[in-house]
Amino acid sequence: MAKEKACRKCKALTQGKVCPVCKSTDLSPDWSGIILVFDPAKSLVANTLEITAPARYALKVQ
Amino acid sequence: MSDKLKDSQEDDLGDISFEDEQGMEAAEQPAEAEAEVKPAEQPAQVQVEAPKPAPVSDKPASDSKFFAIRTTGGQERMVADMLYTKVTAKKIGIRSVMVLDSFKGYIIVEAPDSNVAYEGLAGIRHVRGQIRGDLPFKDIEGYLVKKPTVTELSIDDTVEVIAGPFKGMKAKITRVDYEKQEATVVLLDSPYQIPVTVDANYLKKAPH
Repeated sequence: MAKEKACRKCKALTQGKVCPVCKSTDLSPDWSGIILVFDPAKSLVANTLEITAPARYALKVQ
Repeated sequence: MSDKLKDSQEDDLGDISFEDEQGMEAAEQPAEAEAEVKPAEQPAQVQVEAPKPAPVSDKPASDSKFFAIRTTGGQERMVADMLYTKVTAKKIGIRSVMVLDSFKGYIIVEAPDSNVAYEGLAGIRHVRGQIRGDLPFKDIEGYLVKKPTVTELSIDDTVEVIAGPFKGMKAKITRVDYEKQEATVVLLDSPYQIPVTVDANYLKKAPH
């Protein structure tokens, strides 16, 4: 499995070369922690992290 | 409904007062939830990238509960991936799932109630069980909101290097690059004054 990368702007995880959430190409292979957001409108975690789109996110991106 | 059932099972004492509290909460919450949602949505229509953060944090607006789910060690990501596939396919009411590196052997599931969380986890490999009851959001918030270390650093501060080849040494900051999250330091333990640029996350402010 190809190693996933995290977007430096929105922290979304992707295996491609473009962030699926913000379409940025500034991706980092150095990240830790995973947050899966399914319902950003009702999720406290998504609210705290200001996440608005359901996707897989990294917790920390370097 | 299921909440009340579960709560009444767990809490044998003081049923009447507990019911009253529940009733009050139930009456208050919808009003709060509406008040929370409206201000966040309105600026979003006008301007997508609002500089000010949404009015969130302190008071929990939603009825989310957090459950710590025990998994086989090292399989947390695997469990999360399987859960992601299942929840997206079956539209289960789980709101989010967290895999924290500092929380080995567990994943944290956010759901409106325990039945929803366990429904999602049923049949998933490497799930070993769950901690009884739910986790308060305060416990989890600390892992989510991370102030970058670089914001705490300033020139002439004495710091300790906590990782990398200079681990354990004390140093003095000569320059801080807030964008790159790097700091240039002079090692105090070294006989020579060599400036070294290190990641700001490798530095910890030393007590005076």
